[in-house]
Amino acid sequence: MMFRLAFLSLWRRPLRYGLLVLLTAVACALPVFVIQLAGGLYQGLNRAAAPFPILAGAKGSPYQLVLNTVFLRDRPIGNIPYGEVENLRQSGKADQVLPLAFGDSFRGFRLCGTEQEIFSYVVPGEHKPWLRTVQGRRFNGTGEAVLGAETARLTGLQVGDVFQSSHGFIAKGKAHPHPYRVVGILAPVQGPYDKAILVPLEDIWEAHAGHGSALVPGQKGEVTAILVRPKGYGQAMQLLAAWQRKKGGSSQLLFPAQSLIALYGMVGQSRQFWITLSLGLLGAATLVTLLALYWDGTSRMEEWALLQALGASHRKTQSLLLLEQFLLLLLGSTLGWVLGWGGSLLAAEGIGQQAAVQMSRVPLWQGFLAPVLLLAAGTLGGLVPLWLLRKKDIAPYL
Amino acid sequence: MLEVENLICDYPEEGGRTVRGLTLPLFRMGDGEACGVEGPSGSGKTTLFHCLAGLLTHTRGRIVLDGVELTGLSEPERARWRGKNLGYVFQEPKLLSFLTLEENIRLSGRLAGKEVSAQEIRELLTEVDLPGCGKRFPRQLSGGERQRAAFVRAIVRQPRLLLADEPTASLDARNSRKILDLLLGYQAQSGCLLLCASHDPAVQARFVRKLELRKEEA
Repeated sequence: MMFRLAFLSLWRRPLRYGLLVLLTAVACALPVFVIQLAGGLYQGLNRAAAPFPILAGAKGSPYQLVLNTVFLRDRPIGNIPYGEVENLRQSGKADQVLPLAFGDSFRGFRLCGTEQEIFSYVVPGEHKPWLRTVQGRRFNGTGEAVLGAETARLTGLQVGDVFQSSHGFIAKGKAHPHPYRVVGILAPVQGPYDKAILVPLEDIWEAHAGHGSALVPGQKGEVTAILVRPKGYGQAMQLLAAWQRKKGGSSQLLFPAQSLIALYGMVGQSRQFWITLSLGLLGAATLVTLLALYWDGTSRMEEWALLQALGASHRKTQSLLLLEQFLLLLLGSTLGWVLGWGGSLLAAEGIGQQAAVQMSRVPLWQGFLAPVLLLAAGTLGGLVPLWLLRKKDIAPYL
Repeated sequence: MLEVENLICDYPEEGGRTVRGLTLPLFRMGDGEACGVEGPSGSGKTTLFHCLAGLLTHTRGRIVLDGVELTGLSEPERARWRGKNLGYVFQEPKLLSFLTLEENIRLSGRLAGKEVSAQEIRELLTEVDLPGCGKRFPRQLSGGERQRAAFVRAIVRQPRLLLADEPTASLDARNSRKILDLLLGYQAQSGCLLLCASHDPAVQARFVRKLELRKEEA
């Protein structure tokens, strides 16, 4: 009876309680949105950087090397000789060493010159290869290309299609007279490489033959970066130490995760600010909700008085009011969570289109804290107006 | 049987003053009796009803209904006692606006510990000239219709004590007559105790027994 009475009291007075629900929902949506957005971004950055335990590249800004190689953004610093790849392979400290060469694109999608071994590359901590074809096959020889899932979707290219790359990374760069035939399409990796085009390293060298000294047959060109999967943590540190000892070398070796920590710091500070702001708003909204509930309680004294005259005890009428408050807050905070999470999905969609990072869309447990806190604080806080109302004399309301 | 002895109800006022709301030295009603309560404004008619309903704790005196002394009951016991024994018709109908007539009546029954069927509610509403109105909300009815629905809400619980506090004050003559007919008819049929407060001489004229309250200083 109590639940039905509380439900009908709210349901049949939508104007009266709709605003309260909306207020609660907005108060709850903001922190959920911020937590979900920041957490999703954090997970997206982690996921993007996970396949790159160690990177080697030309000396210069480590951020630029990470941005260019991991996130396929910004311009490459420069190139290093292929000999560095061989040095790393001969060091005996790496399980896999993969050369990566950038510089060309097709309609803004970057070509990544590499070797066939990239298709058997396994991200540390995982069991399956990172890049797997879902249509067609891997490239076997020059002039063949394998498209990232998003590249295929957005360009409309299919297995068997032919395209020509252009120099640089802008959509309308100078075209190379070097055609590629699409031989495969990759499964989505939820990261920047969904928007890549993998081609044999030799094709990149051939396309750029006119930019430097011509390569004689069998001669190796240059690479932009080297992806290294060390045998273990100790070997990774030894490699780093060895590179730091090298004097006058043309390359640097770094852990992308270290570079990202600084970025996390910035994101973290910003998240902290927004969470603080959101919690402030949540607190203010809880207070306003409680005041509104108190006002609502006082304006319904006649109803409570009537229920008591009909035989409902103090406890029963108070339980009814508390139940109504709980239902209101539950509805508001649930709606708020949906709004916050839905908003973060929209933002993730926008960020996914604009940036290289694919944000996580999975609801985060931290995002549930705001509605739970609001519900708990609101329901507990609701005892205060109940206590104040308890002392009111109901007789004048009959 | 209702017995009221040396009943005094004082109200505290601002400035520490005390206002006497009601003085009733002795009043007794036997089973099946109906009594009109009259007196000037401020004489304590409503206060008496609130005391009899256990909604207001009196300052001194005793109220005993069928051997149960109200003063000795705790708040939850009084609530249960009200549910079981009391029917109340107010000056305004005071129906819960978010419930239909049927739901208002059923709620009253449930708070009295009685399950009332839809059929019973339909019959009761038909008896008070509100056939087919069970699904309507109070706002969809006229003042007289609402008051008749409030009467059904009071009697559906088959009360031992039926209190009617100015039940005709906001009604026209025709609706006033109707409500009084219903109250007295139910009292005669059920044998409950009926107390009806009113300023209206036409209402008082319907009662053989009368209780006159006077305004007194503390």
